[in-house]
Amino acid sequence: MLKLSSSRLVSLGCLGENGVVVRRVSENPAYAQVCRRQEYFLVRDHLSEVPEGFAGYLFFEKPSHSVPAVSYLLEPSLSYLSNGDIVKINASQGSLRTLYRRNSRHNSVLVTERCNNYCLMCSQPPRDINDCHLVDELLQAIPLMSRETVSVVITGGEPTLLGDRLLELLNAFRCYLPDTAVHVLSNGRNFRNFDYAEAIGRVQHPDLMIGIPLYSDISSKHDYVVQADGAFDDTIRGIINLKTAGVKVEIRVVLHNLTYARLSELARFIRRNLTFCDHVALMGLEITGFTRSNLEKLWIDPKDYQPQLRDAVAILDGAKMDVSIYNHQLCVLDHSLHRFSRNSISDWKNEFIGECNGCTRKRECGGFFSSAKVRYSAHITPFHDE
Amino acid sequence: MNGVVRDGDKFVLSVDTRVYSLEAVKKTAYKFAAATSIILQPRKDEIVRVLFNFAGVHGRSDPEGVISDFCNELLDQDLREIIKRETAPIRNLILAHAFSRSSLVENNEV
Amino acid sequence: MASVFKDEAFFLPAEHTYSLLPFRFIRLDSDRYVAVNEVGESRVLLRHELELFVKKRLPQTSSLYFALKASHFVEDNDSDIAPDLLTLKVRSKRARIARFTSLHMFVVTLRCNHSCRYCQVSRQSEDRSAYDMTEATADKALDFTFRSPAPAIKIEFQGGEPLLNFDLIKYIVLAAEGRNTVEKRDLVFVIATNLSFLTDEILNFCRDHAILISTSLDGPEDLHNANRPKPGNDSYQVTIDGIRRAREALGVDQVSALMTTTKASLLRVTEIVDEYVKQGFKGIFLRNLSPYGFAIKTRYFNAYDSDNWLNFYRRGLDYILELNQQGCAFTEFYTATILQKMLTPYETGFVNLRSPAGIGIAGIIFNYNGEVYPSDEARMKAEMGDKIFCMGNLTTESYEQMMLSSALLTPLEDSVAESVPMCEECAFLPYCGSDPDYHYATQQDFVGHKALSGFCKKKMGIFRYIIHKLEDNPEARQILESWVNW
Repeated sequence: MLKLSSSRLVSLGCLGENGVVVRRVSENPAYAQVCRRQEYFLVRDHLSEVPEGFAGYLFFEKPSHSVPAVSYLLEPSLSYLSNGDIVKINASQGSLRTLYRRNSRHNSVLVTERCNNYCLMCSQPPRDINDCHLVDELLQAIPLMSRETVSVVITGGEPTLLGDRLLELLNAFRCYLPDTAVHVLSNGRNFRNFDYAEAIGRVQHPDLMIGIPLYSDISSKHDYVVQADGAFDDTIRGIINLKTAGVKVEIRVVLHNLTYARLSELARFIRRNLTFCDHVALMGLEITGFTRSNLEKLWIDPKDYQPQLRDAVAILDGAKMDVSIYNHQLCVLDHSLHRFSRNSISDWKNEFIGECNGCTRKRECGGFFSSAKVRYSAHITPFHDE
Repeated sequence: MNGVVRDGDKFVLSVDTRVYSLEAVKKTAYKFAAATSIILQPRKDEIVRVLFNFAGVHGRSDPEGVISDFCNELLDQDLREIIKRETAPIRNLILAHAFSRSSLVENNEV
Repeated sequence: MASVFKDEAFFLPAEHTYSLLPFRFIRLDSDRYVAVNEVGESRVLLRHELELFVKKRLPQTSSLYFALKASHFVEDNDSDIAPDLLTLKVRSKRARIARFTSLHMFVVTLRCNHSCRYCQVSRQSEDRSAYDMTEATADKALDFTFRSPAPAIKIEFQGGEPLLNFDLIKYIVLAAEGRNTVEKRDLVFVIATNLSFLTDEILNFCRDHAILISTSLDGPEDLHNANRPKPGNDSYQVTIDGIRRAREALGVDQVSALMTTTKASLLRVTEIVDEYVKQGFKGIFLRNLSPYGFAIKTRYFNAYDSDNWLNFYRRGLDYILELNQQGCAFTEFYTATILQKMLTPYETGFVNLRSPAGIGIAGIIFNYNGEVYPSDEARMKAEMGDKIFCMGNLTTESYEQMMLSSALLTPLEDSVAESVPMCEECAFLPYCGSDPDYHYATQQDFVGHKALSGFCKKKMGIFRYIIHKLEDNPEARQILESWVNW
């Protein structure tokens, strides 16, 4: 698992930049003078002299010589940083956070920690804090991101709690990264307000999809999972409003002990009522955040819900809906489901375990969340085909 | 059969309109046109007499079976009235909405 | 420490607080009922369950309650989304009606080399001037066709045997394509032919203009030839040869076949299905004989009652399901159409499964002499002397006059099943339709008394049979679901 944030930033120079700064990092010592003034230079080796003129310098080893005024020492776990990545540095707190990695297929940006649901299996437990600085930082970072970025995930908390600021963000993505797919993970509830859904549509982002979880065909069961009365109705209205406003919608179902039993019924409900949605993702449980505290309530060995999963996929796929299975190890998936499995776990969270040694299909495998060590299927068995 | 009086090819069933509405009785009678011919005779005491005639073209029908089915259908009609009474306003609302405004599905359906 | 999480009971609706949403029900068999809501979602349940439900005594944590709630038969104080979703579903069913009127049939000639027993209209004649459509009439018919607001237009050449007037087919195809460079409709051509007069020239033209071929295949050789007499008594062989040639020239998907059921077919459904499988077709439409043409005149129709036809259909469907279980993928198209209404949020365009009736909305037929009819059956009826359904003549009436003629509108208005006795309360209404042609022919009334209607009896029989299969036979259900066109 990659470490995306560090609180052990050591200032080496005589000056720190004031407050929080968002900077792109460069490894190019010959970078044009006019460009380098906004960037931090990444010093990997002992250089006799560092190139002049960068806004700041990031060292992985304590230099023996004198350093420029704005210089920091990074902990070794950040050595993955490379040319074009974007970091946020708070010198006074000695913290650094990687906001964006140019070479990753899985850039996700947290835009708020606040949420109006309280899901039993939330991986990012909400905090009711004022964190609007996150948007400010992101608005600075977006113009620095590579135009070639394939996709970015906007996540929270609940991004729609940002209200108009979410529109501002989406608009920035549309302006600066028109070729980048943007995926917003939202519970959809705030889109029950049609004007808000319509405003998202009016951004006219060329490749936007809102991913919205739906856990049951029965309102009380969905509300229980998300721990919010009335959430089901809000979410369904939100989905309808978004589609009416011409915004693409993905339905996301996390599979666990409280959702698997009515999975076929949920699939039928989706097929009958929400056929117009653009994608359905059936996802494995990530054992982190609240899931840990509710593990006994939530855990079921994925092997044990294969019949329901197979049925649900057949129902949705049969209705020509686009279906994917995320976060599942190939060896626990029913063979007929392999073609729906996607390798989706963010690279910084994806790992394999001892049982996987010698497996010939790791490349196609959904893999494990690094958090999976806590509990994983008893049926992990390596493939030995060529 | 309880409440049924036979007279040759004819059978008479008495239905209490405090239990079943006249509308329910009429709808039920309409459905049995292929099996029997039916005449409804109201009486003064809120009883309606249902006259089944199995003569002629209906000679091959099984009177007991038909009358028994008639009674079951009458019960069903009663349930239908409850449903209709309870759901008519919401049904009108749904249909009115469905035919007004521009439609989500028209826009997005391929 | 108390958990910060609430338990499931907290989110349940208060007991006995639910209210019913509109639905209809009907007896399915001796102990079960089927309830169907306004948009065709259904649930099979026992009589006492139905009564418990209606009388508000069904436990709200029972799986039956959940099932009824998820398919919007009920709402409770936990959720009021159901009416919204129902509205949406009603809309999506209705949205299709506005986009129909796509099928335009051109009777390019009445002449034919067959004298089929069930056909009323064909003429054994050499007289081209008497029974062929003229270019002038065809032009007017094309004017009419392109007045249709439908984005997709299908032009079907009918007869008689349309290939006897192939020159006019060519003329119409080229003219329609010419107009379509401006109109930009999704234009499809079909020739309904017995394939007797297929030539390389015709096949080349069909290939160049993506014209589909639809032919008649009534079953095994003896049955086909008995149904479809022609000089030489070789209709079957001509058809089979023609199918092969057409497939080789145009591709397998470009050639389809339709069967007509006659009294002689009734006991031979498995042989008929086998014939279709043998000829490489992916499915069959087990049709019932319409009460028109010779069928009525020759008293065929009486012998051919609803029960016999239903037995034919049931045995056919069983056999086709059996074939599928044995690995031969094969579809019964009529069932597939009904399944689409039962299992999807969409409507079907099939003429006799629509309310208001599909006549005039889904199809228009231009007779060789310029007369316009809302359906093929209506034209057949006219040939028998009753022009009640004639909307007018292309040479004398305008598009507006014909589309607003009482010949079209009266049966259309009468056919809104939602206002027809017995239909309005029938659980199968969302699956059914109305057929004013049929009821006029059998009861001299566009609506008809449904208790006496063979149309109603057959439809009910089909619906019940399909629901039985879906409900009681998981293997059949899987096959049937795979037939649905989403």
